[in-house]
Amino acid sequence: MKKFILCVLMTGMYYTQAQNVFTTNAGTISFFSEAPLENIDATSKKGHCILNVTTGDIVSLVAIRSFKFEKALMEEHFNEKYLESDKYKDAVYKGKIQEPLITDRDTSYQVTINGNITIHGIEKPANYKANYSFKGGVPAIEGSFNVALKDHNVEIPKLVIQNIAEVVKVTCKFELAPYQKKD
Amino acid sequence: MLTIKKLFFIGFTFITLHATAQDDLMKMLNESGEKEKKEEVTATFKSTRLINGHSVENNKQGVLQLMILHRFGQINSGGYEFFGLDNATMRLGFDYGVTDWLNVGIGRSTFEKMYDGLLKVKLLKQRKSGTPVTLTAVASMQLNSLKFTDPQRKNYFSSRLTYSYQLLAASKLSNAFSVQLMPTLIHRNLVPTANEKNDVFALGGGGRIKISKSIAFTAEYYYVFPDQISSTYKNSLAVGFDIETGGHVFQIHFTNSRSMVEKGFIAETTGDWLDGGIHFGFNLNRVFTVYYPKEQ
Repeated sequence: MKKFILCVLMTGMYYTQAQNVFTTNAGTISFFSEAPLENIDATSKKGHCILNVTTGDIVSLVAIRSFKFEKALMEEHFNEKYLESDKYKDAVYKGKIQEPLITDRDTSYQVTINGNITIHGIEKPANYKANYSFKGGVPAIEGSFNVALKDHNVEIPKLVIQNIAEVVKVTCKFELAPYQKKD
Repeated sequence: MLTIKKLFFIGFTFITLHATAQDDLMKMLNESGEKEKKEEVTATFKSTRLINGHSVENNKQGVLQLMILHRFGQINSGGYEFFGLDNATMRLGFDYGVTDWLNVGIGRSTFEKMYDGLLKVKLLKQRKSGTPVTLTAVASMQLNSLKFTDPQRKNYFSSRLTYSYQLLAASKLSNAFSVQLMPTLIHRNLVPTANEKNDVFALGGGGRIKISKSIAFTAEYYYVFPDQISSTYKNSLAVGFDIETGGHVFQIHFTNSRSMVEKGFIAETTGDWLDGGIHFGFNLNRVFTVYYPKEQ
């Protein structure tokens, strides 16, 4: 009896990890700031995301340092002055997809994600619309949302107020693969 | 028979399973994520120059830095000279990032009608853990293009040349505080008297303290080892502020040196701080990204 229960539990755990959970560490996250004097965009191709398709729980994380800018100095200032990536290494989103996720056929539809986003060490509630798709046995999440810098205590000096937008548009794209536990 | 222990075990397992929500996902994410490499320390200083001399900072690949540097006359020259402001010398210079680790630069100073060229190589980068310092080597050559004072005697072109070699070692001790040491060798092909050495060894020290995100206080001092240069010359001391505004860095400072090239401010500084022999000056730095390196 004991062994049987253990077996069931272990299988359950294995099942949870192997079949229901999908992940990537090569998602694309970019942001765009449109201000009177200049447009700034940066992209990270090291967006991490993990999704449980049974529960709808989703977590995404990106290292602030992994954002690449066209201008080297912008990248330095972004890390040093604005996002302070020494202190606040990552931006993190934790949420739950409200709709049931279809995994038995190819599909694509809009979903609502309710959760919290942490940028610059400040956590804020964040509910987003995103596109969920399932194709060839793997899911993908794609979406975009706005982040107001002042929500996360990112201060823009008056001198460069013409160069940096107060609200930046963030775009994410994650193509997920089955989660495999690393040894 | 189920003992209490077994019940606990089963209960605990269920709790564990139940908790497989976002926090567990987070844990799994961290496990599957690549192990973080030892991060490089960046922005030890705001500009490629500490004040008069170099900092360990290099322009990144494809970045062109335009420098317009001014030093005014000595403050103790009095009201007639508007405390030195009537009497400006300047250096116009360009530094360019050939690669992230190699910078080349050229400049022209009004003082001594000087041309200069430089090579700046980053040898070592400070990392969050491990390497404690950033090392940069700078070699520069200066060409004095003034007419020879005595055209009658045999003058050699090589007499116009001086060289300077520096090894810069800097450490960003905290987000706000960085220090730098600068062992320096200056070689002068021609010196005025036999008592003055062709090779001059000096040791510089400096640092910066950030006052706000955009403003930093800086200081720089060069100690010239004794019996190498004429005793009328002083050690160079400069203090100032870096003000950074996006693509510009303004450096305003007070220094007892007039020259803006190494052989001048290290080995030929005439001003005396105690006497008011101080020059007001500024460096205006503007960077342009002229070439966009391809993504790796």
